[in-house]
Amino acid sequence: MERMKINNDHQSKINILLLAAVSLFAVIQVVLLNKFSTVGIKLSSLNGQIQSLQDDNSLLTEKIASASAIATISQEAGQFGLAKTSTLISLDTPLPVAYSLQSSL
Amino acid sequence: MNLRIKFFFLLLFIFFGLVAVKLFYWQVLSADSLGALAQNQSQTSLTVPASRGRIFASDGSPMVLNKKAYGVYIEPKKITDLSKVESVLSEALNIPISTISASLDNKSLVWVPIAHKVDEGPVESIKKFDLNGVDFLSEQKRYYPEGSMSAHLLGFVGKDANGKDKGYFGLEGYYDEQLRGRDGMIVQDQDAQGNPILSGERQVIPAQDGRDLTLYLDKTIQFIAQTKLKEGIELYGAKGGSVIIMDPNTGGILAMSSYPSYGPADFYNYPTQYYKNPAVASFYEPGSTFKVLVMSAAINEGKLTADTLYDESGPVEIGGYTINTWNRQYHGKITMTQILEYSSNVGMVFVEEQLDKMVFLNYLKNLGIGSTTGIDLQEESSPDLRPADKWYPIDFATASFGQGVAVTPLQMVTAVSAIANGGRLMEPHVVKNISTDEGSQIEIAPKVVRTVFSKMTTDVVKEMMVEAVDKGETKNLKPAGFRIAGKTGTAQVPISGHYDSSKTIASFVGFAPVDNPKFVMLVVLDEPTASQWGSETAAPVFFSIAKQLFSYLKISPSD
Repeated sequence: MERMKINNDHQSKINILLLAAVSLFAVIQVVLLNKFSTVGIKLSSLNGQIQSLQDDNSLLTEKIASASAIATISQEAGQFGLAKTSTLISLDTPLPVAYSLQSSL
Repeated sequence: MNLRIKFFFLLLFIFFGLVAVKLFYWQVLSADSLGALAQNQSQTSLTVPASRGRIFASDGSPMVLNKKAYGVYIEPKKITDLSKVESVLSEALNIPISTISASLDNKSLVWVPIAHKVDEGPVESIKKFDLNGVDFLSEQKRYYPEGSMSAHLLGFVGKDANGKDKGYFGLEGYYDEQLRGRDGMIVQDQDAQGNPILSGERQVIPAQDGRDLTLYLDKTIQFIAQTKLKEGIELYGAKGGSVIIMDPNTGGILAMSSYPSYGPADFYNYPTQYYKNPAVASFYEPGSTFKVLVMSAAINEGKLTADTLYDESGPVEIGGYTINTWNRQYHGKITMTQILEYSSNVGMVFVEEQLDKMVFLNYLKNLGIGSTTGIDLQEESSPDLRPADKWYPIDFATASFGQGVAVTPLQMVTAVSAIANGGRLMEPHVVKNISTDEGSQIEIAPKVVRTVFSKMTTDVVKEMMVEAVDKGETKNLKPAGFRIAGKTGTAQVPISGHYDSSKTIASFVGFAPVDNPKFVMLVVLDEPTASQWGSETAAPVFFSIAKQLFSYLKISPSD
C-alpha cells in the first residue's frame, strides 16, 4: 500500500515535470517564432545592403581599372609632355663619379 | 421506425463514405500535386547567378572584369501609357519603336524581355519616367578596361541557344567551361510580402563563381606591339597584319595583336570575319623566313656547316621550272651564312638537296608544320601538310625558301623559338595560371613538345641569323650594338593556282638577345602597298618594337 503511494507520488511529479516542460517549450516556440517572423525582413534588408555594397565595390573596381588602363596612362603621359625616347642608350659600365673617394675623406 | 433509422444511417454512411473517398483523393492520390501547389504559394526559389571568371595580365592588372548591367522587361498588362513606354525605351536603349511594338504584339505574354546587359546610364534615364509596366533585372556584363586591345586574344561573350552567356573565340571560347562557373540556388519559405521566413524550410546551394585566368601576356608589351603594328599598317598601306611576341623558354605569349580587329564589348557591330584571330587561324606562305628552319635541319643532320661553299652562278632548273634569286643577282661562291644574308633562293635549293626527302618532311612535321600547336585559343587551325607521296622535286625546292608550304603566324614563331631556345619545340600558351573559386591555384607548366635541333646546331644558326641582320637588307634598321638574330620574308600570294606578283605577304622573324633570348617576335604585314619587300615594311616594324622592348626588358648590348 505504502509502495503504491510512493509510485503515485513519483508519477504525479513526472506529470508535473512533463507539463512544465511542454509549457516551457510552447513558450519558447512562441517567442522564437515571434522573433524569427520579423528576422526575414531584416535578412532581406541585409541582403539588399550586401548587394548594394557589392555594386559599389564593382563600380570602384571598374573606375580603378579604367584609370590604370595602359591606354589611359599613355594618353595622360602625353598630355603631361612626357615622350618616348627615340634613341637607346645603354650603360655597360658605371659612369665615372665626379669626385674621388680619397679626396672626400 | 427501425427502417427509417436504418435508412438514416445508410445515408450517413454514404455521406461519410463520400467524404472519406474525397479525403483519400486529396490526401493520398493528389498529395504530391497539392503539396507542390502549396509549396509554390509559400516557397520561393531564387537563382544565385555565378560571376564569370576574370582575366588578368601577367602583372595582375585586369584585362576582363564583370560589371553590373540590367535586363529591361515589360509587363504588358500593367502598362498604362503604351506610346510613352515605347518612345522612352526606344530613345534610352537605341531600339526602333517598331521593334518594341512588334515584341508586344502577342497580348497573352505576361513578361516581355526588351534588352539585356544594359548599362546603368540608360536604365537610370528610364527610371526617371517612373513608367508602369517596365521592370529591370540585375545582370552582369563583361568590362574591358583596355578597350579593344587584345580583342582577338580574349574573344567575347555572347549567348548560346538557350540565351545563356557563352564565350566565343580566343580565351573566352577555349576556357568557357572554366570561366562560366555554376549558378547557385536558394529555396526558402516566404511571407506575403516576399520576405524569407527563417523558421520555415530553407535550402541554399551556393553559386560557384568562374575561375580567374592569369596570362603570360605583358600589358605593356601588348600595347607597344599593337601601337607599332597599327602605325606600320597605316605607314606601309597594308591590308592587315599580325605581331606575335613569345617567350622562347616557356612558350608563353607575351603579346599577340592583329589588324583589322574589333571591340569585344560591341562585337556585334563588326563584320564576323574579324572575329577569328589571324595570328592563329590564317594561313600564309612564309617565304624567306622559312629558310632558317631548312638551314637548321641541314646543319642538324651534319650535311652542312656555316662555312660550306655553294657556287651561286645562275638560275636553277627543276622539273621544268626555273628558280631565280629574288633580285636576279648571283654572287658566285658563297657560304651558307651568306645564303641567309643574301636570302638566296637557289642557295636554299642546294641546302634542301643535301637532305633526304623524307628527312626533310620529318623536320617540317617535327617543327609543327601541318599540325596545330596546341595553344589555348579556341579558333586555332592549321593548313594540312601534303602527304609524302604528293611531294614532287619542285615542291621540295620551293619549300626550301618558304613557297608552296603554308603556315600560321603562330606555327612560324613557335618553330623559330626552337632555334632561339636551343632546339626545343615549346607548346605555346596564353594562360599561365588558373585561380579557382576556393582560392587554389592551378599552374600551367611550360611544355616541351619535342627536341628538334641540337644546341650545337642552334648556336651555329643563331650566328648565321645575326649575320643576316648585320649584313643583310636590314643592317641600317638594327639598333647599334645589339645582337639580334633575324630573317626577312617576302612571299607572293597564291591566287587561283598561280602567284600574284603584285601582292605579297611581308614578314620578319627574329629574337634577342641572341645568347639568352628574352623574346621571339614575328611581324607579318598583309599586302603592303608602299613596298612589297619584308625588309622595307615588316622589318622596320620589328625593329621599332624591339627598340622599345630593349628598354622595357632592360636588355643591354652586352646581354
